[in-house]
Amino acid sequence: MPTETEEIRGLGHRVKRKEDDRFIRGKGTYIDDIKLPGMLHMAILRSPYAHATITGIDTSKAQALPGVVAVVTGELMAQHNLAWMPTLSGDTQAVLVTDKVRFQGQEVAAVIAEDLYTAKDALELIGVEYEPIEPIVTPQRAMEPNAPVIRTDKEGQDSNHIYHWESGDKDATDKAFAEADRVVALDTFYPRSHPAPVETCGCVADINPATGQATIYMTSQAPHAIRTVFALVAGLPEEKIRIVSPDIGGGFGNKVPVYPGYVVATAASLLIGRPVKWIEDRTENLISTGFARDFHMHGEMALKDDGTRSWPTKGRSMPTHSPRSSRWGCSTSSPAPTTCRLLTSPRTARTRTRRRAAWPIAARSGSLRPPT
Amino acid sequence: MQISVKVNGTERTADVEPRLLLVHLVRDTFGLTGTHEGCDTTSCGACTVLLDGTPVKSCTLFGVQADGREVTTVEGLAAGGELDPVQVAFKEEHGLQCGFCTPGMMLVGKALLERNADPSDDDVRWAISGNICRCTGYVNIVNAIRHAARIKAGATEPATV
Ligand code: FES
Ligand code: FES
Repeated sequence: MPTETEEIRGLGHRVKRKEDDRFIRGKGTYIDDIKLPGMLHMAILRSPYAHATITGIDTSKAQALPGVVAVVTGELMAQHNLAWMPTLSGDTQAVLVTDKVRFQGQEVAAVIAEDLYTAKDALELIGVEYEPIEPIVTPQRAMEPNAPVIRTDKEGQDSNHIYHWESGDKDATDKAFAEADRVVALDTFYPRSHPAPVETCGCVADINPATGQATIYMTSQAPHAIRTVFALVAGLPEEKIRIVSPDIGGGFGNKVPVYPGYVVATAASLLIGRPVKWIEDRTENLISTGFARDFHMHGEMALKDDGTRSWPTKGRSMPTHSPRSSRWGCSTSSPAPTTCRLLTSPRTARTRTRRRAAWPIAARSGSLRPPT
Repeated sequence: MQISVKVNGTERTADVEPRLLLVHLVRDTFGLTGTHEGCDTTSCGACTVLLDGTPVKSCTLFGVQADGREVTTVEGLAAGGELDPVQVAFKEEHGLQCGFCTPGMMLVGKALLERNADPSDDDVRWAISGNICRCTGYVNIVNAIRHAARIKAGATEPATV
């Protein structure tokens, strides 16, 4: 193979990328291009309600459809102790609903079939009885004392306030504000964004029933972290798990978390003994995977008229997420300090002094997720 | 249903369900996975193929609608092993990053250059307006398609790829 030697000239220097040769020929290998012998296809049924109790699921018709191999519900997952899973930030997250739906688009059941069209047909044959509960669509409503509590699964959780963080020197900041000639304040809203990579999320789970070796092909930006979560969920040693990230059709943070579909596909592969592919569609990607921002913020600055003082700053913000799309059913997926980096803007504004920040995050019928 | 489609110059036949989407006919039945699926709702253009030379979104056509017609996919661009000018230009002008939108972008570019040998930036932007790229910011895609026009016209030597 000829080696190209090019002078490296730093920023702006053109580099020919190795991967382009296959991409321009249509020879990339993205997740949906992986096909294993005996592979089955999975499709997920999602809740149309943002907040609802599930009183019954009838899967008999779906199960009877020719080509359907299995229909998985939260109840079945619970029998294997897999209805809930840990998140990367130490929270928990429902894999398939067992008690109640906590956000619109939450995973309720999954069908595994010989082909995708059959799996999607079968979704329409599953009967689910929902009893809707008041959805919470603003953080302000979530914080009201009479608001329904979203995270009823958490022991002792009697409100939707789930997060509080402070940093900086409180006394010095208070003093600066007390002595200020003037205080300026700003309320602002930083809207939600979704990474929306053109390739949606998906996986092919392949568990070898004889060896217990798990190979999971996944559109993942964080295969090592995901391997750790899988080891925790499955109770397997990490060396039994191999996460393969093939070519990835964009990620932008969207492909870091562990999504329930991965866990269900993996469990299904283990129970059925055949590889299982799950590729989400665009609607699923937008309503149920990781998004960012959606902060209601309040900031204040204490100023001296003669300019002799630096600018102690105090801020209160409410990072929140709106109701419809979220994967975590009100679970926190990424470590909270990332939130602070964005919200303690004095640092980026180069006002280097004390700051204090505290903000409640309201759990809502859309989950919470600090930004990445 | 029995159908017969000329795919990248080769006659192919298949027995398919009438509801099978063209994108799945191409990807699953014919095994040409260079055509991608990003939305299956006619929004992203990742599934673009040429149907009798015209760019179409293959997620929004049935396979049976291609019966008796000619389909060109990204795999058909380098006919005879030689890269098409759009392929060369996408690499030279860094018109791709993750590569997922790229087959659709290149096919749209190719169809544009068949009709307009010297497109302006606006012409190119209009042509790719049905295709979403989340990585590049489009500037280099526009540059690449215009660069392909110059390569085609012999106005520039393609650098070695
Ligand atoms: S997959 Fe066809 S337009 Fe997006
Ligand atoms: S290169 Fe990634 S979407 Fe266009």
